[in-house]
Amino acid sequence: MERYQNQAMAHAVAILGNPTDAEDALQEAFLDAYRALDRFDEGRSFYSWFYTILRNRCWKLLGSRNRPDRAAENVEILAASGGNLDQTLALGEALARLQVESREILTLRHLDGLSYEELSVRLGIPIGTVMSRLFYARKQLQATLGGKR
Amino acid sequence: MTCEEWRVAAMALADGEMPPVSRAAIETHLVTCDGCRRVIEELQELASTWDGQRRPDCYVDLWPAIQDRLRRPKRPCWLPYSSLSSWLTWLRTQAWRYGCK
Repeated sequence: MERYQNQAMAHAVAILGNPTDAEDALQEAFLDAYRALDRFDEGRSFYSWFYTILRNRCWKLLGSRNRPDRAAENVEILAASGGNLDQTLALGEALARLQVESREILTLRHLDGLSYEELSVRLGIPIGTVMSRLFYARKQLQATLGGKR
Repeated sequence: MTCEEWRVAAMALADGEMPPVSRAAIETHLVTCDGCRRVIEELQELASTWDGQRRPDCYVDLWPAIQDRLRRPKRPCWLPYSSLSSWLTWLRTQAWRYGCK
């Protein structure tokens, strides 16, 4: 758990756009995972399995609290690593305005470097859907960044 | 295929992935379709905005709270009807519905 909690927290923040909710979802997800540990297939990556549980918890939270699926604009979805800070801020703000599904697939692809096949497993969708979802998410991001300029 | 489908396939190719149609077919389409070529060029340019970005470092320690939750005794399984009279009402309704008089 210790090994994954910081990474999982960053993922939950990217989905929920709010650290307090992310912590709640993460706590519930760890409990769910603990209870379902006997159903974990050891041939599969633990984090990939856990991410599915975490994602379900995040969506449940989004649904139950009837929150808008946009993140708070001041939430930190990105950090610059030697890059341009203005660019990080602009991209972070644009991501916060996107729909959850778009923000999720873009960050998994561009920040975690997941391949289409890995995205397909992680998100539980066919590769064809990964392709189109990623394409439309990029179009949304482009429009959002363009609108801010 | 529609232009939108060509664009999705061309982006997959640009990402180094296996598109649903051949590379040659995509390249041929991009040579002949200015609209698609422009969209792909713009999206490839957009990809550079991700350079040098990473996820923020999040430090959380959820273990004490989780440990606390695990130590708590399991909640009893409450029945949907808490009082005897409401159970009897429910049973009567079911008996009536299924014709047991």
